Amino acid sequence: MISSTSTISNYVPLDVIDRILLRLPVNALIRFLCVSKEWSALINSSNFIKKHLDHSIETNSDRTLILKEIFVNPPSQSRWFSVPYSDNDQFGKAVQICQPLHNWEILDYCHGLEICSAQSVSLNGAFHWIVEQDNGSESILAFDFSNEKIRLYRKPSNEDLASLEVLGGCLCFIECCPEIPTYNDFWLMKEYGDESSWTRIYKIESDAVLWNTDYFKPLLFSKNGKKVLMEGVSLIWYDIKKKRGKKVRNRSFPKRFKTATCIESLLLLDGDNVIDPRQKKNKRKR
Amino acid sequence: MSNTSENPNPSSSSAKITLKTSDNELFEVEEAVAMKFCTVKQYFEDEKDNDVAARGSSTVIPLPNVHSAVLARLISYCKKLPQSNAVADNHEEEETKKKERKQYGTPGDLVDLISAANYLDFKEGLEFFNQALADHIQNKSVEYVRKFFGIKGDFEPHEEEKYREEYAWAFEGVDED
Repeated sequence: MISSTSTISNYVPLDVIDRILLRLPVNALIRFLCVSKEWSALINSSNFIKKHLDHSIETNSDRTLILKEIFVNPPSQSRWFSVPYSDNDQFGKAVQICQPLHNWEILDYCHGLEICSAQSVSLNGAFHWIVEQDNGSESILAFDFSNEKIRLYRKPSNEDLASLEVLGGCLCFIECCPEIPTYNDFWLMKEYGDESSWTRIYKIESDAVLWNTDYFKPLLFSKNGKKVLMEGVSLIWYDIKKKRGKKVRNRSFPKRFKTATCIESLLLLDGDNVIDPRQKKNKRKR
Repeated sequence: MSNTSENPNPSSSSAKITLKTSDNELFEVEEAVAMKFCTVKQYFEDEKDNDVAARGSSTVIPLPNVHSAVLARLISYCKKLPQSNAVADNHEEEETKKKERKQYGTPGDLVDLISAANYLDFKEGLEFFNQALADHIQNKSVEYVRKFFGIKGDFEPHEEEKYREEYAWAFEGVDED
């Protein structure tokens, strides 16, 4: 239904259009690339792509969960699903997708530092591991793909048993205490690269959450940032203030699965922000 | 004693500012509301420096780019401001907010509201109405958007055809115009 006023052309300057388009999901932006050459140039500009991604991270929007079914016999038959998430507490239907990546091995030893856990997290174009130096002290190693440089960051606490994740666009450090009473303590590096910005955001104690697991992997913040979606035995919404968890029930999910999060962005559409393997080859030739 | 009869409730009698719209309507609004519009605030402060504000509410601030119908809606929006930009707590609340965003007028009205908010440098309003318009066009077709904003498609037909084939998934599930 079009109201009579909207059939008359509504001239809006491009800088205002820009701020409206920032709020659209990726599929709408891809569609609107063919509105005109001007819109296409705007949506394809690296400036817009960056602002759109920042806006999505800031407003906790445009995210998708990737579920990998755990299928024991034979494991190769595990299916992959994508679950759109936009509103609080509500998940869309899980849709089966192709396996997104080939299984590949991750380095376990790097530049004289022992990598404490094989698990790594990628953020801001770098991979991160918890590593142990020769003197036994632990820190966080970041390996930047764009310049192949390594940096070390201080951990926010000295607890040995810890893990890294990405939450709300920030590096997340999780301290896991295996002794009773067990707890998970969650820290965020609010300003990437700034060790003084480590902020403790919440702590889950075993007596507050009754599920039989000692590690909760944080996946995403709810849109208003009051809850965190976590993967324990199943998916759980954890209310930070009330310190209470609630199981997510959705019949379209597989029985057992592993989860990853993905923020929709336009990044791949623009070569500028993506590592181009051809460029690297050329550099080496020189 | 005579003071109290003149001014029984000092808190409710906050200073008023008069705004004059493009169609020469006068709006007397509370200072707190008017100060949300940075353009008005700037004008007001400049006037203050020039000592004109000594005459108090007799200052009339002209808004030659804003029509009275639009200003009335912006002012009514201002009064609801504190809650309207807060993020919804759950799905139902989000739906309510979407409906609320629709109440401010037809999509064409939204364009007027955005232009006015942009001119007045009214940040919260701009955010709110931008979101309302984004809600509106999110599931629309390319043709609708062109018509709505008065844009002429300037891609070669074969270029556009090829693009639509390649990204067919982005063109699925679009609302009818």
